Amino acid sequence: MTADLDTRARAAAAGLHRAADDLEPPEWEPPSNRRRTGARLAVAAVAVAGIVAVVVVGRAVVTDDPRQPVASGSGGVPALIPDALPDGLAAAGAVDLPRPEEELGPERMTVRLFGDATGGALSVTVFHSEAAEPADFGESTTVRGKPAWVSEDDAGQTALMWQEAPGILALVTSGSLDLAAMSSVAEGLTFGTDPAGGDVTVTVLPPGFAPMGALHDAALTGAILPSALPVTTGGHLAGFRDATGNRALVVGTITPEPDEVPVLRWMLGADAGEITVRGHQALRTTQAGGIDAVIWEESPGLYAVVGGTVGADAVLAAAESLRPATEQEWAAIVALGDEVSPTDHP
Amino acid sequence: VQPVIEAAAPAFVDLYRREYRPLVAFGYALCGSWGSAEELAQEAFVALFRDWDRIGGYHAPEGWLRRVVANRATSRWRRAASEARALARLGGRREPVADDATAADTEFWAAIRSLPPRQSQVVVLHYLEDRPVEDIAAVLDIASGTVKAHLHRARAALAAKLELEVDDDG
Repeated sequence: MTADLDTRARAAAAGLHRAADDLEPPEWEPPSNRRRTGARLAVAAVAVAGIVAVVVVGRAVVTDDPRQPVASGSGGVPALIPDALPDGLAAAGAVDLPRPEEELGPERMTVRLFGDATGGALSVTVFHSEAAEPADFGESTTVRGKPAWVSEDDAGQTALMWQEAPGILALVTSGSLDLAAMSSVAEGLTFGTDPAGGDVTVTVLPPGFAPMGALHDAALTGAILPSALPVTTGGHLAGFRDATGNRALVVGTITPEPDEVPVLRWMLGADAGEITVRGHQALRTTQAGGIDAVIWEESPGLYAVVGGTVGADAVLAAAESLRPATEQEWAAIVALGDEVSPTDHP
Repeated sequence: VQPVIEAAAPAFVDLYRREYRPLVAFGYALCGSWGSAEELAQEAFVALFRDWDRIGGYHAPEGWLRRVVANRATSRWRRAASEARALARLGGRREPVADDATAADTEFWAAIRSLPPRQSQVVVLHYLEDRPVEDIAAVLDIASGTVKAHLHRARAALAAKLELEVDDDG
């Protein structure tokens, strides 16, 4: 023992404050209401998508509720709206999924997830961005003959990132593998011509690891949750908000691909609790920022989600009151928010 | 409701200007990346802005901001996504960020990040922000006794890792 912890800590804190004092805060630019709605739509969908995975993996459907479940029939995925709308909220807009290719944003990603019997996970993400050159990301190293950066978080998760080509960033993360193993995975990747990285191939896997799932050509969402939203499967999202946009509710129906489910679950790690909604066993979660969400399997393959910043009770009341919108009702909501997009970025 | 928001906007901007730097420092202590720390801070402010009419009335909304950053900094995926976005922004803007060398004791902060997440959050609020136990408990929404337990374990672990002496009364 050569020095005192508190003395060292005070000096370290002072140094960190000095470094932060050199930062120039970006001028605050409030997100517009239009973007706010889009972001909330995306956020709620993503937040709930993670819970979907839990439902799919481990939860049975309870069928003792007298209401008939809304089914996904030949006419497509039903669009649901709540009869019990929280006070002050009104319909703001709606989107139908999948989104047309031309409406997808510039930042998109493909995620491949691998796991082993011990619960270890390895992800390979190809991030399509207009970024020029990476800089200042953890410690420097080299991967595939290119400058790369390594960062480890407080939970022991290691991230290895590099720029594969102009506009393409690659990210390998794991909480169980060491850097050497992760680098071997990175060295073994082969990239095709898909600018979104959809055709990347993982040719080297650590012993015991096998594919768990993949998220294809997802769109990064807005600022509330920096996550990804699958936009290539069918569904509907309707947004409701008050006059300020600060209280909002999102109602969605989604149909995730089976192999997307494990990835969405892994991405979010949702801390969800069990609850019964409309006679179905459901899961609910509260995300940072006070977003309450609940999700359940309304009928086989069709998941309903309700999320918002209106309080847990109001979210549950809205969920219990869902019904299919008529074509006229849905068209009117879509017409309200034709600027809303799940890939809108604040 | 709109006049309330309009009246609150200057207060929000004041809070943003006052708290941006310490919030980034807090984020750096938890995640070890200036770029990610700035992203986490921005995300927290955006989340606050969107719920300002509710959270702005809190006794200490800056504590709420720290809870958001702490929660997001401990999520591996959110951190990875933040880093990707930070990387993209840095590449595009080429703006300078704080210099790690200026932050000096990177070994100390790395040791803190090696602790279990809740311990690291508690000890960062204790050392970096000099917050009393009751304040830390309010920020993290946990009991004061829990804070004391985490702080005790964290200080002991740090002292061992860094080979430093620790005052049990500290």
